[in-house]
Amino acid sequence: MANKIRLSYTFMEMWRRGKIKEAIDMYYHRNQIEPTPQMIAGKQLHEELEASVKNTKAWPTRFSSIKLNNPISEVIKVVDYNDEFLLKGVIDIVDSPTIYEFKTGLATSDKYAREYQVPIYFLLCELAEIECEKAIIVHHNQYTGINDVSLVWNGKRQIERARNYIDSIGSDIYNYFESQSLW
Amino acid sequence: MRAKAPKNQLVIDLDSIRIMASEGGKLVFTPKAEDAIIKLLQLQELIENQIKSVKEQIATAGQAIDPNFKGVVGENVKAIFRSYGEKYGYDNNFNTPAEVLKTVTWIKVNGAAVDAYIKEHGVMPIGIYAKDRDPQLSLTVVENNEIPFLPNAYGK
Repeated sequence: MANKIRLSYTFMEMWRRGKIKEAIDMYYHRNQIEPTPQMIAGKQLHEELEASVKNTKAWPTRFSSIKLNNPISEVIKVVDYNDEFLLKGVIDIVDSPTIYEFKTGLATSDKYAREYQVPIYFLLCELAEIECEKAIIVHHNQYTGINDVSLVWNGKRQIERARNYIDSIGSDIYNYFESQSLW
Repeated sequence: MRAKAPKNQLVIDLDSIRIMASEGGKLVFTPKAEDAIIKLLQLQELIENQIKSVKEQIATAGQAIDPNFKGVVGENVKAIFRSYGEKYGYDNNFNTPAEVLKTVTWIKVNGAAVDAYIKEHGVMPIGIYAKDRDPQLSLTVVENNEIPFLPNAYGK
């Protein structure tokens, strides 16, 4: 895995939005920005979820009533994508054949269902040989206390979306790393 | 010998539908075209009822997973609950921060009063104009014994 760029959804999304300097800083863990109140709140809520899954194998009831079978929280996977890239992801809950993503804040679960994170996680599961037939996005709006849930089925189209996204942004990232000798 | 079609099976012949639509378009010229339109409307109602049933089943199945079910994305189809209208309401019994409120004053034309003005004065009130509304053709089946309403010259 020598000299391969480690791609994550967060890194690629920052790059896609033109936040190149911030993306590089995040990649090399330097000049870390001060977390906003929203980031702190989101982190605390994720920690609450992680503790609940570890201790009770269940969602905190204030987030969701979905039954879990044999869940594992905060699953970190780094896999070979191709000769240039590794693909990394941290899946909130793996409870095969379902993966779960927990979101907080204002944007509802269907917004995340349209984005690229879930397809990338489907691809990650495929490459990491994790059985995954669907993703469930659980959203908790901590300001209103209202929750909503969206389901995304895995399939050829989602995997293709993920590969197209990674290949498009990845090539830009690779060229930049090369030109700036960032290895 | 031709096999019987299984019961409860709808076979959609797209060419027949196109022919029906073409025949139906001739209603302006021939009453016989009504049969084709009636068949098309019946098909439309059948399909709309089936789609409504599918939506209900998706909602029931989704809510069985979680009562806050919002939607499902498949390989080629998305089914998402969407809410329309204003996202938030306002209860004026509280000291709500002023920056989240705006005062709206708008002027609306009183249509009945315009009609009354025209009747009295014989002209349009100054500053008022008739809006160019895009008329949509409505196609419905006339119920038995229903007499189609024809407005008189004054629109009553």
